Amino acid sequence: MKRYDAVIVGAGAGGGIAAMVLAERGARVLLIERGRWLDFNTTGRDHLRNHRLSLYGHNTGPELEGNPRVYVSPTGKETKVRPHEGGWNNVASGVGSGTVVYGGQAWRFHPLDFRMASTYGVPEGSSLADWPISHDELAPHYEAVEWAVGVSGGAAHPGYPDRRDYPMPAFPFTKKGRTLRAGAEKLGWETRPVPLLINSIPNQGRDACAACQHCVGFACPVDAKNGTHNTAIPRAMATGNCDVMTHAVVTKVEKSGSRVTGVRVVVDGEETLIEADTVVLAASAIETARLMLLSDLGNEHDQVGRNLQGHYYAVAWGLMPDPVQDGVGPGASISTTRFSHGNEGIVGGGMLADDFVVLPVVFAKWFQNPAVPKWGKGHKDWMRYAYRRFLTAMGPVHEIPHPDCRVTLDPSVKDKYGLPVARLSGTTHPETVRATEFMVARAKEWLIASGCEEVFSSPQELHLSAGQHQAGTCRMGDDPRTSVVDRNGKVHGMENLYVADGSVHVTNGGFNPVLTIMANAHRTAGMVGL
Amino acid sequence: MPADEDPSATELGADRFLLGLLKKESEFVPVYQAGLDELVRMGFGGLEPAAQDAFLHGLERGEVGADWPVPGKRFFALLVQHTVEGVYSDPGNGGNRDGAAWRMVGYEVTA
Repeated sequence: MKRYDAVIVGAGAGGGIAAMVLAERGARVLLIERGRWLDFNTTGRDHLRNHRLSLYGHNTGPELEGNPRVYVSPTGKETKVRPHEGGWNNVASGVGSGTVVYGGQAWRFHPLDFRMASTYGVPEGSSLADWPISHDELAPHYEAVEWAVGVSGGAAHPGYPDRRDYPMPAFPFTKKGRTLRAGAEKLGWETRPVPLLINSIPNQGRDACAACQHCVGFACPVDAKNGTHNTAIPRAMATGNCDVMTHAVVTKVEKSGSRVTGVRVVVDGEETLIEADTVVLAASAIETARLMLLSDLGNEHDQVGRNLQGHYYAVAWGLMPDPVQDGVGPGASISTTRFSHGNEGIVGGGMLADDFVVLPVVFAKWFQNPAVPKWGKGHKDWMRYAYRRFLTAMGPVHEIPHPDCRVTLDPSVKDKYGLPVARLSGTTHPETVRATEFMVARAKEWLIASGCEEVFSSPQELHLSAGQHQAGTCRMGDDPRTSVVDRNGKVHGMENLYVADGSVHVTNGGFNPVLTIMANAHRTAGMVGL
Repeated sequence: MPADEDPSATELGADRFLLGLLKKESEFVPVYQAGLDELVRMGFGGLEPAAQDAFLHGLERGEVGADWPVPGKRFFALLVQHTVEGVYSDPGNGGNRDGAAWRMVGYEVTA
């Protein structure tokens, strides 16, 4: 029987960082991943099957058949969904997970993002709470992962005088970035480059970004996008202490009293028991919660799987009189954090930035002008006119968690391993919708100041939110009655079981969460007793 | 999408895209079968272009075809959706011959 000091379930943002820290601390580590190694050659450039648009499949994992989930709509309609369908809320499975195919926005959360309940009070019906740790406690870990994984962002934000600059210079503003900067100057709004986990210069023996047009949703053709697959996990393996097991699905975490003893893992249909002194779960917010429930762990107070959240996006777009799309990737170049907090009558707010290079098929499907024909010559004229002239401002909005937005085990649907699948139900809190509407209005204001002649947005409604930013299902807190893990990521009541992914986020910030997932994993893995 | 200074949807290969898609996504087949049967039955192919356009506008709005075995509005919406996907997605999907639709809108793959 195999035995490791630490078994980590899930080789994504959190699991990869945890593997690096534990292996470099000298622990014998097994990193288990249900997917495969992902690279450019095996993920491709299919515009209809990728992580931006997954109409008929996707370019990572898991496999479309045999891995369903049940999605319950706000009206109570249950649908059995496959991994590429919207209700499934996929984070790519594979070594590196979403860090292979993300756009790589590398934001730290704002200090007030950790103190939402103290700052705003708790809206009725929500489970809004403060994190048990502060931004300052996480700051050294943010910095560590910014350097270990590699962020381009230039000088540190002037609001954080104690911090180091980013390891690489910021990407220059694109033409649309310069257009938006001029608009922000008119409004008196401060702007910053978007910090990106992408090499603006050669870094760690890999090339600089080739400025291609397939960034978000795809693997990088020149390996200039930094994820755990090409930084933390290779570093862990280089110690000689870390084994990576792919195509392997953990079906249960075994326990004895208040200790976990190992995991059951299925590879090629064969189940084996692997013993471990410590188990770290990092399978993403939905699957980590599901595995906890399947293993009857940490759920004495019915908290596992609750507070499921992701990010509503405030999205507005408009038309400029002249072309502004220069096609220079990655594309997300300018941002404003002016509305992260302090918005009268709103709980939270958000960050706004421009978008990555938008695929033509995505533009045609998502950026429709209701006044323009959807077919015929009128549609063709529109595409020829608008694709080079459209301008977007968008960004993630603070989600106000709801305890009944949750992951449970479905009572009837099972996966190909015979295990109950994740059932996703509930919605976010109405304050999330209000904050999103507020941020959409700010985005439109920015576009109009930048010269847009017409601006567009979609109506906001209450729904379940998880997606690639999924979080919240194993909330961190000091009180076991209202949280699942303690301030160090250790599951309440268990001596040697930790969670190191977005599950532990009490709130998910008004920013892309991946750097916070990595920083938390870095902090938690440093505290695991060996 | 008719031809003008740029190719039409079928010249770009949207039809090949669709045939490829239907082989993999068989749930769409009955919708196309029913919709095309109705178009043949009412002699759509013999109509003047302006009359064809008027008929398609009627389908889009649900003013005609509501009593078809599969509602004409649903058939036409799917046809429009798949045409867009065939024309603007990567040539590997069977349409967008030689990336001509990308050149038409100003999208260039440089790396």
